[in-house]
Amino acid sequence: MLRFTLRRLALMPLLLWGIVTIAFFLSRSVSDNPLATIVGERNLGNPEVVAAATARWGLDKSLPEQYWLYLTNLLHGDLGTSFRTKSAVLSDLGTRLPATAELALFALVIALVIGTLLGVVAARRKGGVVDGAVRVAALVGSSLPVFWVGLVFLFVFYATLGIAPSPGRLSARVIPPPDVTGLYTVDALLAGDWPLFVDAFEHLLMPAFIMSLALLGTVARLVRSQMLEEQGADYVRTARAKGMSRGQVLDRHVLKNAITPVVTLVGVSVGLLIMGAVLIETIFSWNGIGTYAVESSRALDFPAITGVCLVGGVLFLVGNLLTDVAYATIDPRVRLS
Amino acid sequence: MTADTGALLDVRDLSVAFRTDRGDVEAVSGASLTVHPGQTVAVVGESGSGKSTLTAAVNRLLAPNGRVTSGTVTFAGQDLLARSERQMNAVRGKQIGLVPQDPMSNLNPLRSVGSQIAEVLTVHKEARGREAKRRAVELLERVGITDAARRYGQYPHEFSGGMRQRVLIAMGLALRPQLLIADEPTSALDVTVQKRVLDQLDELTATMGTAVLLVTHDLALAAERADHVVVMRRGRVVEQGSVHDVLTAPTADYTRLLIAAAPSLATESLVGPAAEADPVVEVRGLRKEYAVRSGALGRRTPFTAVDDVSFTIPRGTTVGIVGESGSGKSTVAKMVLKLEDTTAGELLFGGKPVTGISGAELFAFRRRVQPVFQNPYAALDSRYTVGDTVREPLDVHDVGTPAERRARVAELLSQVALDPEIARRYPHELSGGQRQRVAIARALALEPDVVVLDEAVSALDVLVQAQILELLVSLQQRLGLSYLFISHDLAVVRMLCHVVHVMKAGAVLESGSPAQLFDQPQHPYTQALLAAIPVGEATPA
Amino acid sequence: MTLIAGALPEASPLGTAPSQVPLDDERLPLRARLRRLARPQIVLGASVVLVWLLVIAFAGLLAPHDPFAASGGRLLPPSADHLFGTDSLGRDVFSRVLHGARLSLPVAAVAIVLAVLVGSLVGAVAGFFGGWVDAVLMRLADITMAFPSILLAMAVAAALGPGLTNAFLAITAVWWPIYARLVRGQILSIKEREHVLAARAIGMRRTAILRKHVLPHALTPVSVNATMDLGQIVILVASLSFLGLGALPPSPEWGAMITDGAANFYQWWIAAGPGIAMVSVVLAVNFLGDGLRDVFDVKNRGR
Repeated sequence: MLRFTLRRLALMPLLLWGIVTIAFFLSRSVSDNPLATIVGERNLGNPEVVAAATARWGLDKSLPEQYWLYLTNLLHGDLGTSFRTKSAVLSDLGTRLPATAELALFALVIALVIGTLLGVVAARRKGGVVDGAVRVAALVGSSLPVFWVGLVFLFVFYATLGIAPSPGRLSARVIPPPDVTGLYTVDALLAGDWPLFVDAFEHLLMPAFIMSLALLGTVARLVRSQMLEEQGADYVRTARAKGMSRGQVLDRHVLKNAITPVVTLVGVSVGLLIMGAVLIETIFSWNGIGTYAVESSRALDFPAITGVCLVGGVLFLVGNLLTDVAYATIDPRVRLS
Repeated sequence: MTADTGALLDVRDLSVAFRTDRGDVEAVSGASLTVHPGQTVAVVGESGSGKSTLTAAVNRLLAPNGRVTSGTVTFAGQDLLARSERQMNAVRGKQIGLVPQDPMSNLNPLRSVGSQIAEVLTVHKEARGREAKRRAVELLERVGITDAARRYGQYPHEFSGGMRQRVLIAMGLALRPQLLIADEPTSALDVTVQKRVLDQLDELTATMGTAVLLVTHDLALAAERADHVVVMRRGRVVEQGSVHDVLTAPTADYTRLLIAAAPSLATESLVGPAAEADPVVEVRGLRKEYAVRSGALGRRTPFTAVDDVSFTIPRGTTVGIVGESGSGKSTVAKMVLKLEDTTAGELLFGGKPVTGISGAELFAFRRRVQPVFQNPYAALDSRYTVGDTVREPLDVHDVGTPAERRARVAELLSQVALDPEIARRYPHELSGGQRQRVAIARALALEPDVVVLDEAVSALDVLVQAQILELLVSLQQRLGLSYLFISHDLAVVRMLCHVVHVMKAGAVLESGSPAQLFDQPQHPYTQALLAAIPVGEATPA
Repeated sequence: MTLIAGALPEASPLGTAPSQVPLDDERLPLRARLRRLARPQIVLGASVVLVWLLVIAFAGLLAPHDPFAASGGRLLPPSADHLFGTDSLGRDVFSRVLHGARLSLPVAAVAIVLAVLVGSLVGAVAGFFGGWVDAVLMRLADITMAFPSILLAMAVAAALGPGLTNAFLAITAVWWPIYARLVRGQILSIKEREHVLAARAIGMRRTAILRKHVLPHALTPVSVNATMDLGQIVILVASLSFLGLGALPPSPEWGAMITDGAANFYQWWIAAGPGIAMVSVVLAVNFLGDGLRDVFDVKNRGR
């Protein structure tokens, strides 16, 4: 296992280099001119401004030169400067990451907890009404386009019923808590500001729930099928032959074996969560990495696009690494092999 | 029939049915048997005879789609079929123990071995906490696991197959039950391990006074270990009685066939003495190393699977390689087939070296040496008809016209005693024995000189096995074939081979004719192997 | 003893305790397999898919109005004339939804077919030949997999410019590694099976073995997974359009229509029509895929 993790770690730089390279050349192979973003539509007719901007942003250099420059800067922790915001991509990402993290982590928790519970309940009542309902609900959950569900929820709960708060991370005119972690809910608790926490939590609940839907369905289905498969395992019959009741066998033997594979989902879910973040943030006016990615793509902001892809890749790799470690701590077979 | 009052277990006219896609299927039909306290009763039958289903019905652990349709199960005076689930939980483990078949899948991989034994005690509230652990360690010691206190905390994958089976025995006997159901307790184990495990089981049940209901496909093993034998076929009990009566004076035709077909060391050889002939295959100093990654950095260290193996196969004879799992015998077979590269050593075919050949030479070699593998289910591609499968070698080597090929396929199928009509069928429509015949027909299509039989009869039931062995012998006589016969089963090897090599850990330990090897084994390992085979007689206690 | 097989009938396969009858589809007769397909889940999913295929074929006949021209007032709520109301330009939403099916479904289907073809080829080559070829191809797949799919699709769409063709190229680029891995895994397990060893021992060429004895066995899991993925791709195409990176106005692509609905938030029917259409398609495909997976016992690959 240690060996496996080490090999994974050794592979990480290669993977990140690959991502950066693909993102770099993809974004630079663009057909439209990014200068419109840099200098604004009005100044495009002004050759002096254009020439100055071209030199300033290194666009006069050849593509290999630009690539080399980007890589060397990257090694120094410099992701370049955004065409659009004119500030360092790294600091842009830094200020926006906590908003996305808060949303994604909360969604992940919802998906894992509720998904596992639903899966277990369904497997216990296999073939019953509850099982059928969970199976259909899980399939529906993974079939819904999040951006559309976001609109529907906003229309129903905010615009029509008025029981959900407006889009955004906080209500209007509410001042964010002092920045510690960047997660408003956590920071509000740290500051001991209960009303602020409630406000932040209320704003978080709906987008996080919608974001969790797809993963929730997947988790519920995996847990259910694993539970059923494990229940047919030989060791279950052996445990029953010891005189254990069906319920005892489920609790002491089946559950742990069935839930272990869910850990692997956490790793793969990073991609799903990033996709959710991009769409949900757009709809819920959530100022995170997702909206940053969308705005950068629309504006052909190369350095920002490459930066977002790099962050996404890092998150994906870290998520998978954590999964491996978690799996190894749960499953003794992996630990020693 | 009235219930036997002195009996510990009395099964009367029991029928069990399973609900399937094809409707209800009766797996056990009106079976009856009796077990007296302290007695060992063996239920013997081929696969599909209903023997495992019968015992699963006794402690009410049938698969969810199975149910008892009629009959009674009386255990220690109580009607088990009328018990509630809760009452059954009190019986299972405490009064009726179970030792299941496959040691690999019957332990929970995520929980320590010791805790799974201690669980038997805690579930029945016989002990808890430290006391349960102490008694579990004691049980581990009693089933012959050394260093039990440390072993207690280890996980199943850290145990060998034989040790896991001991753990399962410890679990089954933890509360000294009156009855132990042992369902093929050793069929997944090598023969020497099997003997040690069964000896241990005998000793423990004898001291505890536990009666055993032993399920097995191996008549000789049943005869050696049991007092009473129940022979089952297609869900029915065809015969039962004391071991001596059933073996010496069987009343049912089926039992007689079983006894005749069961290979044992007493069975006569099917082949005559080897005639002098030139070697068709010569193997000199064959060696195979695999790179195995180990350690935290994944350094490749060589693992030697086959070490300096030499032998010859004289034309028209059968050379056997016998050994337990991991002995390297199958790797030798693959190297002779040139499906696996050799690390060192030389392979000669018809006097010419073929070690490093490729291209057209290898293609020509393929025509001369053909395989038959163990698993009749995996050996045929499920997507092709029998005819396509048998014709394929002819297509690949471009033999004859399409009409000639069709005729040849029919001829090949009759050669292996199959109806040529079977060519239009798919493998899933055939029985295991029929599939193995098809695999043999395919191997013969190119008229090879040598056929490598890698455990080719091991997966078959004993009656089918006997038929295939006779087929192989008659084909050898008619076509002058040479066989390399790889097997773990000494009795079968003795029946079929002219020369036998005993392998262990990659090396040949002893070679000779079956007569020499089995009557005067020289090497201690060969002696141990032979001693471990059930001989069909109860050892005097 | 005679040499004719069958003189001693062997235990019939039916005699085995049926709980032990393997559910492996390849051992079951075709008719039994077909019978197992007749599940409510599969039938329902297939019927809805069939309805949508008819819509694609006859959208021109079924649509009551021109999907590109105003056919009444702007932002009209649903009525008998306009089942799903009209949008910000006064176009009939219902007609646009029907025409939109011609974009979303074929694009998703072609994207998945391309991804399966590219992925299967890569996976087959990697799995069958092994060695450095395998290492290089699989590292390439790892890199693509580590790239969050929507970001890669966004980067591709941004680079090539918005448009449905580019969106679907982007999706193929994102999806092929999934099939490369799936097919490679299948091949690694199939190529050790005894029937493949037997084919090698006959002297069959490696490519012929791959084509005749290995790939056909990987077909079932690949097609079941492709069905499961089709729904996800329909959503991804719409998502890209919703973000302005896929189909552009005035295209009646469902995602682009929902963008219009988001802009006219209080006219709920503009987004409701295409949304419901999309959910019905994706749900039907997922029902179908899930049912097929159960029938063919394809393992959940945990994604």
